[in-house]
Amino acid sequence: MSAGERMSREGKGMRTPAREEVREFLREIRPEIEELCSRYETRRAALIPLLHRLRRRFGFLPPVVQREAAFVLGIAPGDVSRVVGFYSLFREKPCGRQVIMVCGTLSCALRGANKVIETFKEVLGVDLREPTPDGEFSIERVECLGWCDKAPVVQVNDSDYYDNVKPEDVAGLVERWRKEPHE
Amino acid sequence: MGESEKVSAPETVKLRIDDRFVAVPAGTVVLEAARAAGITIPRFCYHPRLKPVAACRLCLVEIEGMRGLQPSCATPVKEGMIVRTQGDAALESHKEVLDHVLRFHPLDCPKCEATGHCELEDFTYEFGPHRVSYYEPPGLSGVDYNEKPWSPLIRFDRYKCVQCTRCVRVCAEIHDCYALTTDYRGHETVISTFADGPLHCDHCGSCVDLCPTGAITQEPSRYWKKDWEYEHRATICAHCGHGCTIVARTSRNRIAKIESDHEIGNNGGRLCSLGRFGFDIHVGEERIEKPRVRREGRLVEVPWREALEEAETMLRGAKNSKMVALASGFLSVQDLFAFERLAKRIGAAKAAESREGDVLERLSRECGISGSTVEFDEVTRASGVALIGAGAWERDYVLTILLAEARKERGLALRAFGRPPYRIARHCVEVRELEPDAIRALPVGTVLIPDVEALSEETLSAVMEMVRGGDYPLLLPSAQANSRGLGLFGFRRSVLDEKLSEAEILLAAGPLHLNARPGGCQALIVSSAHRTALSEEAEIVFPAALPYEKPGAYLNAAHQLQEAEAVSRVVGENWPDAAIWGTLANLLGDSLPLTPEALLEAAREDFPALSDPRVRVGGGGEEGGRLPGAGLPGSREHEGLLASRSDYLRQLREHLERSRDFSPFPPEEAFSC
Ligand code: SF4
Ligand code: SF4
Ligand code: SF4
Ligand code: FES
Ligand code: FES
Repeated sequence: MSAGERMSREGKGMRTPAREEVREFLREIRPEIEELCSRYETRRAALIPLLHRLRRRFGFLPPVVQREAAFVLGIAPGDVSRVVGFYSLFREKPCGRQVIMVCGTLSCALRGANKVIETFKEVLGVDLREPTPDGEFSIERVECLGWCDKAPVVQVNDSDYYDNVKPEDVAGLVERWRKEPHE
Repeated sequence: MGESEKVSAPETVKLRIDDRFVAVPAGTVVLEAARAAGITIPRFCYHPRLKPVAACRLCLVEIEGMRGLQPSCATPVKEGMIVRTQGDAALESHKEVLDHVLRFHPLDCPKCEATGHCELEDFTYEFGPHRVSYYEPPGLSGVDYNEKPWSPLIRFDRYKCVQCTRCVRVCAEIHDCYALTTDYRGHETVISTFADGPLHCDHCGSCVDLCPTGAITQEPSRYWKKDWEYEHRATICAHCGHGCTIVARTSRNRIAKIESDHEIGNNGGRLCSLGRFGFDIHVGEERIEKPRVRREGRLVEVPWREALEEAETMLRGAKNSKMVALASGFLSVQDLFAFERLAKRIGAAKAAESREGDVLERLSRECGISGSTVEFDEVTRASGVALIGAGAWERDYVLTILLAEARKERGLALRAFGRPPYRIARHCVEVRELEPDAIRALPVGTVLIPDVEALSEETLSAVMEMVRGGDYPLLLPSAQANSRGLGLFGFRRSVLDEKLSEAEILLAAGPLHLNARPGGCQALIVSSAHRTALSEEAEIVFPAALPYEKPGAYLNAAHQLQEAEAVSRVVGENWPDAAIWGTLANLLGDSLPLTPEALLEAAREDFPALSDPRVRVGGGGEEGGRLPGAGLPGSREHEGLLASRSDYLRQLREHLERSRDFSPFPPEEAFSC
């Protein structure tokens, strides 16, 4: 993990980086970007891996990050925002360091996902997509997570899943995640 | 030029659509074939200016032998095809698609700018459903559906959008600007600017033209008149030497907005911000509305007759003085011809601020040609094009985007000499310093587009040499509507440089950069639509009509002689320059006819080359050093002498300044990283 990335743990997800900061980071990882680009026929094709890289560094992808990413690849900022808007894992607005994604699609909805979401909101005292004041958590309703037989399903950050989540589990889970935060 | 110029007669394909038999060229899509037969197939995402994407599914029809309904907008005709547009399945599917679109359409047609020319309105009326089956308030997904101005000139009402993406595509495919995009996905897809921010773009207005509904509209004409109450008057844009065809929408002789029509003119529906929004130049406090004459040191308003007679007396008494007649490239052929006749009669030297006339003169002397040897469409079909010097990409916006499109579509090899902005550089196979040797090394057949105003002697000579050899086609961009005409009539920059300082009498016609009377000048006679530093120093000031206010012909950069209409009423007591200078010439003994038609006729007699614009003619001049270019945002586009009078363009300039962070293109420094 580079210095840049370790540093990011505190600010990550909460603060919009300054343009210079973004450019600095892009300069730093330039060799990596060029290596990425060399794998594809067009530079545009490196967009998604680059966005993941930026997301890991800054937590969310505000316009300033999207725009600089576009220019490094030689594409239009609108082409970046289109991709960012398309995938729910790319966020344009500040989010918590741990993003709690509750599935709201049919099976989960039928098995009480709404109640789960409401409970998360109560326990954390925030609305959907609104980070907690300490920047640790934010809650989102997402589309099917592909684990319908274990509904309701909750995902936290990139790869941790919780199944059969009941409203009464919520407080305990939040406490646990505070102590052992997800990467 | 291009090796692949195989000319073969387009094959004709015959097919049946409903009860009609149609014959259309091969490659035509079914939807267009139907249109040719007078059959309407509803469509949203299809537009003749764009590549078909078959995304909206509104245009589905039955085609015999094909399973299921087919998108008529993307299905090419085949010999013997049988198409049914009126079958139950097709009609039912139109209804379904429209029902879906209408699910959150506000139906506020009575207060919508697009009422009367809205495709959603028309198709719903004709094809149904006439009752919407369910209604879903917009904005459930957290997307901001509120209407908002994208800029002071273009407005976006998201809730009226049908997601056809024509706006996004015209902006990218044709205008090479990429200012619009889609956001979110599925049924929540919305059209958006980058980061849903202010619209930082060329403001060509093509997205407004292509939007089938009232989602994207022009702000200035909002809540003025309903579409059908405006008159349509096609005319020529007078802001630069491309000479785009514009459609002025007027009400009681006032222009409400400018639209474009891709079926007429040399611009195929393309316009720049000047052509689109620079029409409000007639208003403002600076407008001169009555003749004025200097009395006891002050300019006072007098009747026309008095001003003209005073000028006549002045010119009669000045037989032996050194006189200079300085003309603007914004004047029409008629204006320039009358002014030229007056200059000839009184023996005044013909001067211009532009170097174009001198370049034309050299071309005719050294190369035996007298201007551009190719037209705009020939340039875009060439195998290679070289832009030589900044004026080559700053002056003519429509030419620039045509080149970008040709590069993307046909692989045109674009080269630039000088320091082109990123927008141009990114399309170039080669960008080099402006050096004669580099230019000499260009592949044979490359179309040369030199900056006529600012090239060094050396570079210009290199261009001349190459053109003389006959291997390099030439297109001279011109900065003002009639720069080429100015050249044709023999008005020259070299004359200005040589004679201005010693002029005793100066006649100055039309918008000029000159802003102080020369030292030795005893009498200054000016025609101008607006007060300028020069007009305020004059002895006599004639109030002139603006291009939109008078009929006139203009010779453009590609030697097309195009006739413009008067689309707006004349402000005050203003006369066209043709009438001002023609009357004065007649008072001094000439016998010029003073109608536009007769003047053009007479001009053609005196200058036969005007009769056939394809004949390259010699001589001529244009305008001065700091010329306006109808260029890209950030270039010199708004320096235009006419454009600088437009309040809309001033608002646009300020908006673009404020919204820099939303530009689709990087500031140059971003490229160092
Ligand atoms: S007005 Fe702007 S957004 Fe619209 S097509 Fe032109 S450049 Fe694109
Ligand atoms: S704004 Fe207009 S042109 Fe653009 S997608 Fe919506 S309806 Fe189509
Ligand atoms: S490119 Fe020139 S002629 Fe065309 S709209 Fe712009 S200023 Fe007018
Ligand atoms: S519906 Fe929730 S995981 Fe599929
Ligand atoms: S017009 Fe044919 S699919 Fe949209």
